[in-house]
Amino acid sequence: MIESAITLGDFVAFGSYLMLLTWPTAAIAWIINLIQRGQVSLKRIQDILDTPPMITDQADVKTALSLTKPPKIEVKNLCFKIQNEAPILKGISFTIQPGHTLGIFGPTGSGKTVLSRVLARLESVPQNTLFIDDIDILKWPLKAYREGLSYVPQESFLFSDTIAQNVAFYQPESKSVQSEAVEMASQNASIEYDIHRFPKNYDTLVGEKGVILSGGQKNRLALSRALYKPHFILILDDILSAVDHKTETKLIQNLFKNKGQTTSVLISHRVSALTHCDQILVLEEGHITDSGTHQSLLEKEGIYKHTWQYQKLENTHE
Amino acid sequence: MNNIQQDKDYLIRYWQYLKKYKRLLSVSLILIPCITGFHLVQPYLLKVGIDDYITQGNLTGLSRVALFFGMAVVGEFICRALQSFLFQYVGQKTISTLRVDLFRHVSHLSSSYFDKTPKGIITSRLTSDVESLNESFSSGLVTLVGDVLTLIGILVFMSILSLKLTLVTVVFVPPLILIINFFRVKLRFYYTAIRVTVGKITASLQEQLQGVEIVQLFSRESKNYHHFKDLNKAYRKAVLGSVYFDALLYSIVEAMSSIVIAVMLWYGFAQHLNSAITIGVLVAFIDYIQKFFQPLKELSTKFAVLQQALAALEKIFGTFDIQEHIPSGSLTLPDSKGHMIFKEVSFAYPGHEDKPILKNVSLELNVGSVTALVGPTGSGKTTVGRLMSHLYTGYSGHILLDNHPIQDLDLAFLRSQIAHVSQDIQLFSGSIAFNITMGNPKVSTEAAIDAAKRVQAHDFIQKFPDGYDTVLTHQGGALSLGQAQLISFARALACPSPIILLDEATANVDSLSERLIQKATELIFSQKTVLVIAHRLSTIQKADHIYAMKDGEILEEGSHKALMAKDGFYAKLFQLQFSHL
Repeated sequence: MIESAITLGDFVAFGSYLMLLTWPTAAIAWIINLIQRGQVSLKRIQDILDTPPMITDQADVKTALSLTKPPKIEVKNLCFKIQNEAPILKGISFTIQPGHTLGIFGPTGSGKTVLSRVLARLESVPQNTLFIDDIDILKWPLKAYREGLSYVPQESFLFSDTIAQNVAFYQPESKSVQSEAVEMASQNASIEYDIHRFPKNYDTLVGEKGVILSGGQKNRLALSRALYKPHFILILDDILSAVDHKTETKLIQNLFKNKGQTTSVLISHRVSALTHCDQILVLEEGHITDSGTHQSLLEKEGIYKHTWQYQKLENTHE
Repeated sequence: MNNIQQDKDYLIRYWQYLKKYKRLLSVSLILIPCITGFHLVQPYLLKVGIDDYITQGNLTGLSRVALFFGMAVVGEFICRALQSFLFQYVGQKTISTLRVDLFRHVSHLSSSYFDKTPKGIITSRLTSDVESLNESFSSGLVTLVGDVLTLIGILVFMSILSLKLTLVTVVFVPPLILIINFFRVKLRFYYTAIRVTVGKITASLQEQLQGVEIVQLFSRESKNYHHFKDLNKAYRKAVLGSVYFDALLYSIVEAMSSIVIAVMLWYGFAQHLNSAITIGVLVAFIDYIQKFFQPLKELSTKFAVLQQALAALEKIFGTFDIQEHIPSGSLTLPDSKGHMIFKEVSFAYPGHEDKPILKNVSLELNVGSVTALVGPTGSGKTTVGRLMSHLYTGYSGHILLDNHPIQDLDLAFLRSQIAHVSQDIQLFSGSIAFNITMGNPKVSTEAAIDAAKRVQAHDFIQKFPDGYDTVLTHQGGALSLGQAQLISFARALACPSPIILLDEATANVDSLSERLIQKATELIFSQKTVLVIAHRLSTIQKADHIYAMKDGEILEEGSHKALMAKDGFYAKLFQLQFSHL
């Protein structure tokens, strides 16, 4: 400018433009950093989105199917293992007639829970192994099948909400909690007495912020949740081991009250819970080693009879 | 007032953590005025360059000023980089100490705290709250000091150059402050909303994922989807709200600064024509005005960041203030055999004082004998076990170990005396061997294997390809519930504690294994003090002494024979149990 090549105004404007340039230059480095971070995150999200559901409807699913009555359940030569681990179920076959109750008895680690999870379609099964009303389970729409099924897992999980909301967890679209049905379900699960002793009865909070429930109470609440949901198949995985005997007797009475209206599977390692079942399977190390009614099993030598004798012995020991 | 006092209190406590890095901190604080100085001298040099050299046509002089200008730019760069690094360094160091301290504090809290505090909240205290404190510390506090210094510095430089022009600029400040304050209130509202909804989203996600199978089985996917969608929408709204006001504020301040510059050009040029100021002063002033509005805008957002820091401080030190840990005594009894007495103990869980769970419970656990506690579910059996281990406090009556109240005992000592197999099985990520020994150097591998054999777990453990080195993942993973229970039973047997507390220890185990376990543990039990809690009576008939509980009270006690002969509550329980067989 001193040499009159530019004016003073040019110089000031140039300076200002130069200042404006600095920020974008610095920002480029920052943005490159951001883009890289974004790419990593995007990939991780994409990985989850790309994971196909293990259990899902296949292409040839019969969409019109739904459970409207207690079905026949048939298992044919079922073998099951989780990924590359040793097989858990080996060549399991049995049939439950509509409305009948199947008892599954077996020692610790024999595969009872896995079998119940297979029946609840929480595990995927190969073709031609599980049939509901003579139709392969893989042809049943997952949603329709689960809609007609109630399942109580061994370890009960409750949500941080009121007791009423937990019992009425099954809420089809636009339906609200039906308090009569909630009370009915609690009665049948023998938890009603306990609920009435809580400070706010059915509005008592459970879970992380709520009352402290004993193991047996949690189990029975989970049972009432399953009973509240309309169902034609009921699967109970060893929920009686955490309740006292008086409650167990009452529960079994309640469960068999509406016999014939559901096809049920009752899992237990306690003989006393299974005496009323139409048919009992004895499961040992993934095999069915015996089956029959309570009476017929007592006539054979085996783990079922031995367990029963042990308990009986203990009884007369006194 | 009280709030301010509290904030001050938290800041003082935070200072305790920062204090360790006083030297680094003071270095970086000294750097702030340096940065401001280098930053503000630049327009002044510009003025000198124009007035003294450019208009005079002095090229050599101009080169010298340009050199100074360059040095100022480089100086600013170096100081800024150094200062930013130092602050991040101190911030990260402090935060990591703070987090470890907080973790230690939380892990010592009593069960009553965990009963009522969702785990999601505790997790967010240890992660996002601590992180947010760090962010606001390094970006907020530092620049806040820098900004204030810059503002003051600019005013000083401007006043030196021209008092009149300075006054013209300052006129615009009060309305700007009003505007900024309005936005501050709005932004604070949205920032709070963001934090609250993030907390809700985390808590909801955690629970829905834990209970995902139940959700699927009960066809709740769509309802939960809508619930989550609503939460997500609330979050999006809060974020967009803050972005909206932030963007608006940014533009308004930007526009203001342009207006002031325009006014300055018009007014300043008039002044220049009157020869009141030189052209260099005018150019420098325009530069200063640009530099003046920047920190002013920053201050408003920094204020919000500071609010966040205070909120995080409050949450963090509020958690430190929770003194819900069980006070530990100092007494240890090295030769304790585990003789335990409950004398008229009554107890209600905190928050449920209207519903006492134990009423006047008296019982005695003798050395070398098995005591059993039976009763229906919900009768308070598990609570007796929890009080024994001093997991809760606030009971009335006395609990004595070898005639010493357990309050007088060192807590770690007391708990090391009791091997507890609880109803809720807890396995940790690690090998099976680790899950039995729990890393206790007093438990040898042989002892662990012996314990596993006694609880009939050895066989199935051996069947795993890696045997005892099989690594368990999430809550047992490959193990069935019964097997997991056996491992936690083995853990208690292998532990050298004199007292063994079995709370439904074999509830998920089949009867035949149970009988084998009973035989295998007889010898061990005869040397220890054992409390068996059960609702299944087959397991406790051989107990030396039985207490029968109902609704928090002990109704009957005695041996199995004596109680059967009495034909009371216990006999009724017993008959019911075996009526089917």
